[in-house]
Amino acid sequence: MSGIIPTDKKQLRACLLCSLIKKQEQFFKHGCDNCESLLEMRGHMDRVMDCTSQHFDGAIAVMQPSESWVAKWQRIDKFEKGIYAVQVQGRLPEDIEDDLETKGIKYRPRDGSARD
Amino acid sequence: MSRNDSDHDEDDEFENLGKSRSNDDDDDDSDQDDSPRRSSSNSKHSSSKHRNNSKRHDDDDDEDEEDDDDDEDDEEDEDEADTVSRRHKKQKRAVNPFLDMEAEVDDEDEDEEEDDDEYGAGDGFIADEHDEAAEATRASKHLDLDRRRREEDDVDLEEQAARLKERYGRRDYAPRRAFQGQQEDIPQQLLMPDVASPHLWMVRCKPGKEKDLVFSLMRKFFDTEYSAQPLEISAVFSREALKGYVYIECRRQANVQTALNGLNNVFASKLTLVPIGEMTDVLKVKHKESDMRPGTWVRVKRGKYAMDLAQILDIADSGDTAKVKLIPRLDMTPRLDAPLAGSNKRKPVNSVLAGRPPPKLFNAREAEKADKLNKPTSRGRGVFVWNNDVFRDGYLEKDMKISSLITENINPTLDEIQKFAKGGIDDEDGGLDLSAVALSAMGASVTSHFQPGEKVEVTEGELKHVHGVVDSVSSDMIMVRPLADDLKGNVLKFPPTQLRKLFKEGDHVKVVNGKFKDETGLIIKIEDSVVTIVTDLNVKDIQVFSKDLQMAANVSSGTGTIGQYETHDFVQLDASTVGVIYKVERGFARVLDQSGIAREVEPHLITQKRDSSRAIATDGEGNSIQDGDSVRELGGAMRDGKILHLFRTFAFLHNREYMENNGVFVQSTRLLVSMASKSRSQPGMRLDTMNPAMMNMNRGGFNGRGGRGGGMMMGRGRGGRDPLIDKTVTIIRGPHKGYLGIVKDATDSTARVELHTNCRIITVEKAKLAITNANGTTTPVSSMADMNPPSTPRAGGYGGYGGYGGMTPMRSGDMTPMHPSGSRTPAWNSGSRTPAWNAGSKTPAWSANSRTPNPYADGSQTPAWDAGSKTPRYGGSSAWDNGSRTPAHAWDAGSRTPARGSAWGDSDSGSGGPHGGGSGMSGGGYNAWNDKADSGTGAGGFPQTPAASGDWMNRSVPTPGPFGAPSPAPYSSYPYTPGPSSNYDSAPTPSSNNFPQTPAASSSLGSGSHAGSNGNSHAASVATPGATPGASNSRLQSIATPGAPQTPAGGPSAPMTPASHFPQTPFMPTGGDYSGMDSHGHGGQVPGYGSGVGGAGTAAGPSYDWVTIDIEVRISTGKDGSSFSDGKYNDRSGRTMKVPSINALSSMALCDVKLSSGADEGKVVQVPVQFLKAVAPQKNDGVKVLAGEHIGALGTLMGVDVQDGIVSLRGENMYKVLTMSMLGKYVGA
Repeated sequence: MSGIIPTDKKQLRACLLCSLIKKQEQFFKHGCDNCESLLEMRGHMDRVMDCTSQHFDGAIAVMQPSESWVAKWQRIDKFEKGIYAVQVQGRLPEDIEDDLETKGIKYRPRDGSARD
Repeated sequence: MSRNDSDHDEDDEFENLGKSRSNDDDDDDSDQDDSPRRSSSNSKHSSSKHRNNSKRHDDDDDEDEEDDDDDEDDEEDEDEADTVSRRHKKQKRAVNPFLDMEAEVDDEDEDEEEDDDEYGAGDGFIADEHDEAAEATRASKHLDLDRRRREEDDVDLEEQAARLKERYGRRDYAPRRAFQGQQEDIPQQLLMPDVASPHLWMVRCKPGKEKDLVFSLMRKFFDTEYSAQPLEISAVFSREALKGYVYIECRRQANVQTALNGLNNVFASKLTLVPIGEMTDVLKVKHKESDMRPGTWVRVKRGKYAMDLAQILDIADSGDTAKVKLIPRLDMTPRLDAPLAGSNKRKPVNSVLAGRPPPKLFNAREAEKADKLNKPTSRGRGVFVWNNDVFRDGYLEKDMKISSLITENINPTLDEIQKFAKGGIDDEDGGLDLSAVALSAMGASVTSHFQPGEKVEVTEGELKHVHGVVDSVSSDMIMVRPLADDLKGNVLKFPPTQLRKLFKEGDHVKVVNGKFKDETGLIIKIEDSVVTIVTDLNVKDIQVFSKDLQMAANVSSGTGTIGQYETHDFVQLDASTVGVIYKVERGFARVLDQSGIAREVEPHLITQKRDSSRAIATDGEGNSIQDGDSVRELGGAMRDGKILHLFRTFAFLHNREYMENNGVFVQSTRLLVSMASKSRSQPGMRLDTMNPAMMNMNRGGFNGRGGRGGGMMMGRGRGGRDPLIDKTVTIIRGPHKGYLGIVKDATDSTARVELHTNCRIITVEKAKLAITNANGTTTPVSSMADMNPPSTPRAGGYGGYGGYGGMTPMRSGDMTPMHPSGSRTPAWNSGSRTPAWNAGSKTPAWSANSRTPNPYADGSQTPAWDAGSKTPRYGGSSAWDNGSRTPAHAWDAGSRTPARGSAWGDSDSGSGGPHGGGSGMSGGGYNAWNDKADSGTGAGGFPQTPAASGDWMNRSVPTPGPFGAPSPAPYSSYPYTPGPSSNYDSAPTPSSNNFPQTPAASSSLGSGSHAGSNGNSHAASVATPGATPGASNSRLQSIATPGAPQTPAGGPSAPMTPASHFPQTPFMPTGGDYSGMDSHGHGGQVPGYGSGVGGAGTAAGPSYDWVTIDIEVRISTGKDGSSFSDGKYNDRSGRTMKVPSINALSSMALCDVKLSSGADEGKVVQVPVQFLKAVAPQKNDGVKVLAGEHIGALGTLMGVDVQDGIVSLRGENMYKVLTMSMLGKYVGA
């Protein structure tokens, strides 16, 4: 659990899929707490670099995801407690996007380009 | 036995393995029991995991094992339910890790427990029986393990992988549940907050600490999660854009307070509830349309390629790095010794930008030559790798962080882009199409480039190729009224990037942006966005982007101005180079210099603008030419043109029929002939042959300008006026024949004459005039060669002074025939600086000069004048008071100008001799003077300190020498060396010149003789109209004598006069000598402290005009050693309370001094000023300026630099650097 909080403010990256913010090495060691089943970043630095971005805006500490409107609005209410970005720049690589699609998951970029 | 046991054991295990594999489902089930949170979709999950894990199992093997512990920890926390069984395993593992491995595979607890039992039993048994046997068993177990491992290796890898996957797969830290994110697609509208949502509180915090707060709150939440008082907040967030605020989401305000309790950098008191309606705004994600696309132009922020244009080839998906294409800057200097080069390489790369190599396309062959040991490797199709850099078609391809690139406002110039477009190794197909490049550069276009009414074409999107007219322009959108029939009536919105201006060939356009800004021209070719136009101005083809064009009706004449300079201005580029701006372009001017070289000059490199409007030169035929005249070349191309400017012998001409340099060209004036008829009409006016004297002068080594000075004589010389002006003339021909008048103005050929009779001013040709001489004769103006004596010297002088730069007005020349003798000769000085002139001027130096036909002439700093004019004596004597300020003026009473009465006066009387002499003087005599001066006192330069009277006298002897050359008579009759005062009487006139120059007069007088001479000698009467107070001793005399100023201390005091000996020492501390020091005012500015600096200080009579109120003074012995009140107050300090008026200042004038120290502090004593010395201020003291421009000003002394004080004057923002001797310590309020 403590592993989901960045230990310091350096080398922070945000997951491009769920916008979770962790340190680069945390992503490498443990993967993304929400998306590991899909993105499999754990132990693969290249995947970490592909699937996370160091350009993100804002930090949301989500304490009670199901309770929080903020989490709901950010569509992270189903995710783990942790720190999330409001906006993440960049997109997942296309092959991963395709992969997600085949798994029936609609990729919603976190860079603000998603519209509905 | 035990071995068998273990064998059996193992077999069992393998069986179990198989079982477990077949029982996979069961296993999962049980797992689910263990951890209800594990997702129901575990099968799917594990299958996908299977695929992946098998892929990378080998690498992960060790890692996973290591991670296991951590993972376990994590999972323990995360999954309470799991912990029980796991802890169990862990304990067991502590007993025997080897078995643990098997246990992992095994079918859970039962088997393991069995193992445990078995192991424990066996162990106990053996231990009981036999230690050795136990040892053997252990060894055999190890062997077994090894064997088992080997067997495992033999098993089909895939199978093994599958097994391992089974073994570890489910232990992954990774969530055991599927991705929970976008399972349902809810539109954001439905996510809007409602009353049921928690509240959002805005809390002020220290800017920059927002994120830390979020993090620490998260941590705090986890820390207290399972405590009695968990944080009851659901979320906390901050935004980069909302600096200094943190938002906390919770139900009640109290929760916020408890959450923030004990946190730093947050101001919990500043708590604001965010209204529901605004909650979404706070989290609004503004999508920044990434304009970074492949093909976009960027610039590199720093490093070797700083500000270089680059093109993006590819952007990494993460959006933080991009592959860019650059023109490489490679160091292609051959490296001789590679090892060294390798170590040195780092430094130059990081070194200053200035030293970076120029951008140049990569060339494999060059690279090979440059670095023999490290040849580029080819990857085919023009791709090379060299020093870890990839070069494609000569361009460098480099991955760069987007944060290190400038992406906005790139505005690449066409030039830059063209570099990217051409020059590839295979230019044919590898080179970029310019228009394509240009198109991508269009990204930089902004709405401001578009104007309503312009025709545009849509370049992107559904409406591509639709033409329209710009209707209006907003900040980021352009409204376009399409022209197509089916779209008519609509107004469509487009971003500027999707539009292109539409022009037709033949349109007349103006460039509104870029290098060619403000050029106008006709479009001759349009290729997409690149438009080729022929400029109106110089009929050149230029290529510009259509976005940078605007329809224009008017024809531009170029911008015309740059800074303060404009086309056809005459500018000075450096000391020896001048030129004419022939074209002004953006950021620089094109200048043609006098040697005919065209150069591009930035305005800041132009030193100044020159004015040649009054310059006159002679053409090849000797005619005068000036600006604006039309001339033709004598040879060569026989070009004709109008003179723009003249510079020495060069003429800058302009003829717009010539294309080169916009029609500006330069030619020597000798190779030109004037096309104007006017000058031809005066064949007699050959300037350079007109006057032999002038010829002399020109040859006489008059400086470079002299030549022109001669040339100017007849014309309206620079700084001079026509010599005819102010002359009384007689009209000798024409309707006004016989009339007398004064010339008011004159041109080359005509003069405006104010008639005496009726005050009318008429214009008369010069040829019809004759100058009326003093003796009644007339001289026809037209024949200058025949000019009669009175005018001759003047003419000569004219040349001289014209050459000198016309520093004195004609008028003075008029009055002083001396003047001609040359601009630098003493005679000149003496002439032009008539006392009257002096009276107007406050420059002591000049005044001094006026009386000294000697090297002082240039010693412009001599305070002599000061001393002289302001001697108490002067003030005190009414005789001198009659409007004249300088004693010298007194001489005027006798003879108006010394010169006139002097030997020079002879030149007036007619003979050409003096004149010739005069010009000769200017040639050589001056130097002679210089020599004399230099060989004189050691103080160096002209401004000798007369105080060194020994030297002085020596010098004064030779002084007349040079004069002797031009006009021997007067000078030889000069009896004035150390002559006694009687000499003044005997030859009063020349003495006027020499009197001041002969310190001997006073010095030799000594104390007594001077005093004695007071009564009868002219010199004395000049010198001592009131010498009384000082008559008692020589020093006082020097104070008292106006003549003395120049010869202040005179012979006797010379040794004591510090200035001559210690010119650098302000405040010569020789107690009693103070007033003597006074006389050597520093730079003539301040009498207060004598410091003859750099020989500038010329001794002067002491003056006390420094005395002013509210400064600190010290009472000391007077110059002559006398003391005030028998020395009772010596060395006492005080504040000046009341000072004598400036007119009454004399050495004995009384000054009220309030003593500031000692027993009788506060007592006011009246002290003669000669016993006073100003106290030098220290740093940070208040100061009062005692002399100079800022006299009387108050300020603070900020610092002292040798003799200069840095003073902050009250009411002035800037510091002034003032000589210390000019500063008194201010003690007023």
